[in-house]
Amino acid sequence: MSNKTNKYFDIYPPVFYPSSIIIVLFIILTLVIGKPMEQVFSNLQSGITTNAGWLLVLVVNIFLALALYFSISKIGRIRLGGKDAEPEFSTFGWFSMLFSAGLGIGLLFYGVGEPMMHFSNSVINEAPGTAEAAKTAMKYTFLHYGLHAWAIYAVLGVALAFFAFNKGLPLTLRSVFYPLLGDKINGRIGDVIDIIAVVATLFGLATSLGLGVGQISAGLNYLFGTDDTAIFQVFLIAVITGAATVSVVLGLDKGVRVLSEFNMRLAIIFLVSMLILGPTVYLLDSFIQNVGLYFQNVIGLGVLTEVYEGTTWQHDWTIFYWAWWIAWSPFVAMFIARVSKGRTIREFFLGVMLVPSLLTFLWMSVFGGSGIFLELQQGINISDAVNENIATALFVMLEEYPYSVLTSFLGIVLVTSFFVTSSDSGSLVIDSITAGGKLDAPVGQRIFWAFTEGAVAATLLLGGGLKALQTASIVSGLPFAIILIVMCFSLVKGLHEEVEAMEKEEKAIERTSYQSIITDLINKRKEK
Amino acid sequence: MLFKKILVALDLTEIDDFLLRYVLFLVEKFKTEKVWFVHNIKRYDLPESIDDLLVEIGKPLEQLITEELQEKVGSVFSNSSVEPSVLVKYSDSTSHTLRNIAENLEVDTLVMGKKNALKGTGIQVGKILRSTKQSILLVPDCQVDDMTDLVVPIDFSEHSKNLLNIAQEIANTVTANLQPAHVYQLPRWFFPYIAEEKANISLLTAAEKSYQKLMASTNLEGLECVYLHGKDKGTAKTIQAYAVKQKSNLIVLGSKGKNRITGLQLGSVAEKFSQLDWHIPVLFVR
Repeated sequence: MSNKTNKYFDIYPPVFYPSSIIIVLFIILTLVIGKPMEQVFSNLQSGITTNAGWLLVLVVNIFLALALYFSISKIGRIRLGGKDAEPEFSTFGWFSMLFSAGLGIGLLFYGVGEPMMHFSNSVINEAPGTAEAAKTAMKYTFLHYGLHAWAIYAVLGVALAFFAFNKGLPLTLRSVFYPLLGDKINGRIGDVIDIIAVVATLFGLATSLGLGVGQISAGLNYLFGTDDTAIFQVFLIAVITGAATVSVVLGLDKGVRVLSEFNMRLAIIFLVSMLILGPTVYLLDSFIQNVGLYFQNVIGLGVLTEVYEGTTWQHDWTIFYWAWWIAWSPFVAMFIARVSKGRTIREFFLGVMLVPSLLTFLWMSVFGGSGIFLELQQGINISDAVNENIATALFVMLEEYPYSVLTSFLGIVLVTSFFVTSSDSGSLVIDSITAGGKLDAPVGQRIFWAFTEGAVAATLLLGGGLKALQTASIVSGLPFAIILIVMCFSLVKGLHEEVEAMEKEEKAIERTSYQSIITDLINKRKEK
Repeated sequence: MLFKKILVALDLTEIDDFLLRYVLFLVEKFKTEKVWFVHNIKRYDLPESIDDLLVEIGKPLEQLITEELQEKVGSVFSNSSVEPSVLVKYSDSTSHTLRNIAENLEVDTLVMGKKNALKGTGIQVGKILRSTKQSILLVPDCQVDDMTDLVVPIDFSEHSKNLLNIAQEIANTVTANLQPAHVYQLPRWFFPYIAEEKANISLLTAAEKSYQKLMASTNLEGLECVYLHGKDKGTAKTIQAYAVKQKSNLIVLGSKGKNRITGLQLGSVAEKFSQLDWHIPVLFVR
């Protein structure tokens, strides 16, 4: 690959230009066509969830099975980056980055909202508002944010890290197809794969940013009475983009890691305050029971397709999530691969799957549980407000507990900083792909992508079309899931070869040295 | 008491010379009653060309190796009060063979070489540590002639008490200095909020108290413990660095320890130790 380089840019033209052009064209189309475009995607999405939901469920379960296999089998011994590689980041820094990049925003946005919505609406023919409904609500929330979700990221992440760090290929999506496509990954097919990754990542980030500022704006409106208008939200996007730019300019170690650690600390403070201010024992009780319930049912929940119930509840939730996580996976996986050099595959899976899942479970139990407690135990209705606007769910719930001004403020700061980390890690990822897999492209280019993301979000927010693009991202989840399954074959092949080579090498050294020792000894005795 | 009945694993490489010399030193110092030298022939690792060579010489491989080892051992142990025995076995698993022989002969200590130059080859130390019940002494591939300074990593558990007693017995026998050492380390990833310096001070104070308590329950007197901060290195590497700095010539480790949460379980540390490169003998006490 030959890059075009100057002081500010170091780009790989076959990926950089087409991606930029597609992004601009797509935005113009969305703005010009407007509603009909949203309708097209929406139809496509419902077509997919109705007819191919089973496929997404299957694919996600395959990922989970593969993740378990990789961590338990001999493959777990492979170290990402080679035998002597050392981890680049401390374990806490590593966890923080994994967590912030992958789930940060979702936790704040849906932490109260999702359990409350399941609890207050009928889930697969179940009566809402009962103790049973509370269990169901937590079970499904855990399913959507638990092991399955992280398995998608982990499997793609390990593939990227393995081919980049152990096989010396560039850290871009095309590299994971090396065992199947061979040198063709350097040609047009490879370019197309990377362009898809860039476009999907940018739109995914921009739409979340655009939709997510709604939550910050709503929170500020509740706290300080600021205007909850589109213009104000664009201002917020500018602030977040500015902060992300600073972080991106500082680089992975000084910027992104520091900010992720700050986030993680703030999140822990927020979590602990809620635990103390809320019904502490109730929340701890619920955490234990929820986790138990989840693990007891994880297989059954994971393969549920509502076939006998004849309902379509899953379409808007489980299937939506699977498609959404898959659409996000190039970005998150690329990022977690980038920060996981020097870990063994076993460590990688434990780190990427178990720790974030358990933390998320605690989070959901505390925030969702505090909401459910209000309704179930205190008879205070908050679900109407949640059902009306899920973005304000967190603040509506906090209002019922002491020091709500303080906690809401903390919540807003946290949502904002989670956005910044998603935005900056996303920019680093796009930056790296459009530079042909280079890990440290020039600063000018990083700024360019951080700004583009903010600009796309702002444009769509003002001109309409955020929903359309988000739906488009989800629609891309299905074809991408199929590509990922192909990748799994490629990955399993590559990893098995690596393990065999590793064992062969160890055995061979031992064997040859022993053979020469014995031969020498026989020859020596012969002379006597 | 250790080193009364010793089983020594030889692999026919240069390290055998260092092992023989070190075992002779042990035999004299500890008044060893019996010592066996064993080599295991790994059947599958031999090519057919070796059979041709053997036909030429007219003796089975087992006999050839026995003769070779008897000569080697005999030359080192010629003036020794102990009559050494040489055993040559044929099996695919060296660790199994060693375990079986050690159990049948009721040895108390298994002595093996630890090669630094060739990482990961030879006998798999980790595997043997997990499968045998005897104490294990790992001798590096360099000359070690003395046993004057002993470092004993402890975590103040019941096991540490036994370990100190055994180490004291060894130190008395060879008139060596005994240095208990404790590595303290904050499992930082569990507590990201704690100001590290303060936490380290309180960890240190707690360690000092635990040591006093431990000492009060033993007959050992006048032993000062040294407290080492593990930083990010981990227990095994910290002890290793300290032992090198102190020019110690034996590290005495327990193979069991406290729970896992503190990250100080000596069992796992023992495993780590067996993987490190070092030039000081390490004794894993059971």
